[in-house]
Amino acid sequence: MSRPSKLRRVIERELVDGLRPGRRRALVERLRGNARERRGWDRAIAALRVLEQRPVSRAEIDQVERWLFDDLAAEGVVEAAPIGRGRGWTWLGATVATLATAATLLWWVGADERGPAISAGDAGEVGETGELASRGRHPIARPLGLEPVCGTPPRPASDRGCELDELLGFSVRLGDEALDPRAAASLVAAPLHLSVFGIAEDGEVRYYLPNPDARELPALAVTNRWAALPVSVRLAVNHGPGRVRVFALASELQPSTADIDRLAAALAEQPRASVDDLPWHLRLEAAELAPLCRDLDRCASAETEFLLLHTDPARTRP
Amino acid sequence: MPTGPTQVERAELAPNGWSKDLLRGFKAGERAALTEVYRLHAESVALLLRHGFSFEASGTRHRFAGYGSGFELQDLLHETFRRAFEPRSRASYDGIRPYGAYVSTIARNLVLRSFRAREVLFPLADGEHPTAATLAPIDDGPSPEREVHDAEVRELVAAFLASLDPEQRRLVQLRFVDGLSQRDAAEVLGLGRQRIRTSEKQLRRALLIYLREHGEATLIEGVVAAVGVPALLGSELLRVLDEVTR
Repeated sequence: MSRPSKLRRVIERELVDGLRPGRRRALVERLRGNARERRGWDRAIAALRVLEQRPVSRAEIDQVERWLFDDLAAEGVVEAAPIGRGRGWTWLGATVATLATAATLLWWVGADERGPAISAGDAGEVGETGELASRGRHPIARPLGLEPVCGTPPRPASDRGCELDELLGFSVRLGDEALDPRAAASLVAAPLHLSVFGIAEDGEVRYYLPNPDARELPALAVTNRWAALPVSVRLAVNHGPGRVRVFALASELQPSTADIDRLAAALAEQPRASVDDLPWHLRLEAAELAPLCRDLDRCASAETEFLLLHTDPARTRP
Repeated sequence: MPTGPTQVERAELAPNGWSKDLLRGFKAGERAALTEVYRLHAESVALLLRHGFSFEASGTRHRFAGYGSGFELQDLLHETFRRAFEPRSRASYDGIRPYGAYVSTIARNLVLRSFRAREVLFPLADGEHPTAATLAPIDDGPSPEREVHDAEVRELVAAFLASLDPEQRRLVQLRFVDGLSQRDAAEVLGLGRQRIRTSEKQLRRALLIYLREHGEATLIEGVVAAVGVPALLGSELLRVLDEVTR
């Protein structure tokens, strides 16, 4: 049995189980205007029409009903869905969608201008890059930005990496000019708690925030400005040379160390993200994310990495 | 002998034929009312988008042939009702005009607007610009490629049906061929409604997997979703269903 493409798997997931609204919008946005990519969708619908012997199948009409009321609820036009609403496939879709664990299938999904924290982009602009993107300059809007800095005075770790005898700090920003107003309003509703952790090349988790000395997480408000985090990590302690992937999460609930271990275990299995990947909290399975992000619109995530180098003995300290 | 609404029932109806409760709930944006309105009118709008419509532009009569792509149809159906259910649209609906015609007009305008958008994208090389109308395809009936594609999809679905066990085939017959509700199908089969739901879901997933496994290599590229034309369905599939359900 051949392995379906990611796109095909996600399409089948939407047609059978129903994706969560943000992911469904991202999928639709991607397929809209891309006839080649939506062939799998069209074939599936064609088969459903044959199965039902109808020019337009009940399944597709029910599917649109789910989209419609999800969107109307998100816009505040109608109240949120009662449990068990809909009929036929729609009911199934709505029910199963709440349990959906399709996040990892959606790595590739492009952006959605109406979706939470995601905006449409030109596929031509999207390419592989190690910059990762939490900077708002890329086609997918990412409301949470994270930048490791090191040295004195602090410099972006992306410049030339960090050295083992330096201090590591972080700059963060919550807010993005590309955010649609609804997503921005959702993030603004109340301060979010920021947690930051790393995964070293050997798979070890690095707890930056919270850490054993700082269990209280800083509250983060939408400002659109970069700000330094009140954390300073001595890299000589618990770190070794190599690449460190760093993940940040802004969430309503404060994650515990156990939560971070669970997230790190899930993220360690994922390849490095590229600019056309969704923010990592949208790529994880619901069970991995729970209970931190019950409302995805009230969560934001960012990831990046830095290279940790041996201390250069020839370096002259200022 | 069919009977129309009684005098009392007529008194309870709004001028557009809805119940007054439905019209009030619709204007108020109540979810139950909007759901009922969607279910009343979605199929007719979907059929309009599937089969197309004629229109005049620049003094010439043209025809929009309908969406061959299921995705495009669903996308536009969604957008149609999203606009129709906006507070401003609901407030401006008078409850007198038939709602089906009202929402169909929204759908038609969205279709024609999408063609106008394509004018901008694809101006003619000689300096002339196509009108919305000239961009609308003329429906000359199914092309040979489409007919081949239709036949292949039918064969695939027939082969899929043949691969089902008797209980699944019976479910297909009741739900999709006979059009029974889940509740009625559950009664006929002596199963719980939840079991029917689960079975339908499994069935649909199996169909998509079957299609993926058997269809990718055979379906003609770029000629998709052309099935669903009633003339191409009906008797042949019924015959196949008969065979596989015997």
